[in-house]
Amino acid sequence: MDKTSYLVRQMKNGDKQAFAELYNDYSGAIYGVIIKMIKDEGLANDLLQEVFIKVWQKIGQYNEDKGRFYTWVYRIARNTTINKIRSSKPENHTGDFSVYEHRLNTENLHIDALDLRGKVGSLDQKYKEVVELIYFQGYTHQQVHDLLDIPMGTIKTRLRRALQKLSTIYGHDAKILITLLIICGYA
Amino acid sequence: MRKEELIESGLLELYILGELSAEDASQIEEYFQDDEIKNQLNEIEHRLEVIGMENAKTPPADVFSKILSAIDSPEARIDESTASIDTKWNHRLSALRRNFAMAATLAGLLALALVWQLFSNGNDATDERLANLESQVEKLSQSNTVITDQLAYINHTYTTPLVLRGTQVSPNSKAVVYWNPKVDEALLSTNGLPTLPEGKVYQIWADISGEMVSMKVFTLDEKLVTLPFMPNAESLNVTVEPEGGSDHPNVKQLYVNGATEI
Repeated sequence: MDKTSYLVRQMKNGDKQAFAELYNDYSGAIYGVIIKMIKDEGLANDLLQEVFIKVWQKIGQYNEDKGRFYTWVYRIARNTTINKIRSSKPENHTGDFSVYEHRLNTENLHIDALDLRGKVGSLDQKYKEVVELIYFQGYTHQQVHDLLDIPMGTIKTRLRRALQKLSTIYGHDAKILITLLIICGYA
Repeated sequence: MRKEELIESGLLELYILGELSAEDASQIEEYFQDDEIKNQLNEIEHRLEVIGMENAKTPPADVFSKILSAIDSPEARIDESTASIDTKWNHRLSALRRNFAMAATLAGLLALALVWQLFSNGNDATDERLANLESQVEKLSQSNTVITDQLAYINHTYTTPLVLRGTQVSPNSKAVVYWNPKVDEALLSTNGLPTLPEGKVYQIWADISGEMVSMKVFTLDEKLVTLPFMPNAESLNVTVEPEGGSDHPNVKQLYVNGATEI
C-alpha cells in the first residue's frame, strides 16, 4: 500500500493528522489549478478551503478502484470552481434568448496566458493550449472547439498526444538519471 | 467502439478530467476490467497528477487552519446555518423592497392619472380606447418576441429535449428540459408537474460527479423556466423543497429525473 492509500484509509476512519498530510501533499497542485481557473487569489483561497472541506466530508464516497486520490480531488475542485464562476455571473430571468447565438461561454478565456511550468511548458504551443484550457481552466472540449475553431476530434487527439509526449520526456529523463547513477556507481 | 479505437479517441483523457457525458462515461466504465484500458487510465491519471504537481502554487498558511475550524467547531456550523437563514431573510427583504417599489410606482402613476383627469378637459372616450389598444399591442408584441425567441431556441439544431420521468414518489409526473451545449441557458417546461402543496417550491439539481448542484428554484407560475446550462451535468433532478429552496436536495421528494445523454 502506498502512502496516499494509507492516509486515505486513515482519513476514512476520522484521522485528522492523515487529512493534514494529504492536504500538505495535494493542496499546492489543487490551488494551482483553482487559481488558474478563477484568476483571483482571494476567491481561490476560499475555494481551496471549500474543496478540502468537501474532501473531508465526502471521503467515504471516494473509491480507490475507480481512480487516484488526486483525480478525485481535482474533479471536486474543477466542479466547485466552475459553479462559483457560474454563480457570480448575472442570471437572466427574462427568458430573452434573442442573442443566444452570440453568447457562447467564452468571456473568461485567457488563451494568451499560457504560463505552464515543468515539462508541459516545453511542449509545442498547440499541445499546451489544450492542456491549459481543458485541464487548468476547466473548459469543455466543446468550448475549446468554439474558441479555437478546430475539430473536436483534433482537440481530443492533441490532449492525448500531449500526455504521450510527456510520457516520452519523463521516460527519457529517467533513463538519463539511471545512466548517471550507473556512471557514478550508485546503481 | 473497439478497444484500440477507444484508446486512440482521446475519450479516456476526457473521462479522467470528468468532462464526459454520463453515456460516454458508462461506455468507458464497461472496460474497467480490461487490463490494457486500466493501465491507460492509470498512466493518464499519473501524467495529469505530475503536471498538476509541477504547476503547484503554495496556498496561504492560514487556509488549513480555517478548514480545521470549519470541520471541527460547532460554532462554525451554527454560523453556517445562521448565514443561510440570513441569506433567506435577505431574499425576502429584497422581495419586499421590490414589492414596495412596485407599489410606490403604481401609486405614482395613479396619482398622475388623477391629476391628468382633474386638469384635462379634452380627454374623451376615443383617446382612452386608443391608449388602451396601444398598450395592449405593446404587451402582445413583447410577449410575441419572447415566444419567438423561445421557439427559435427549441428548434435550434443543437437543442435536445430531455424527458425527466416521474419517480416512485410521483410516477405520473413528467418535465422536459431543452438542453443546448452551444448556449449558456436551458429551458424547462413545467407542464407535466403536479400542483405544489402550500409553502413548497420545486428545485432542479444537476448531478455533477455525484454532487447535486442547485440550478434553480421555481413554481408552476412559469410554463417555461430559464435554467443555466451545466456542461458536466450527468443527470437532472427535480425535488419538492420548502419555500426559498434548500442547500441539499430532499431525495425523498424526488419527483422527476433523467440523464442528460448528450
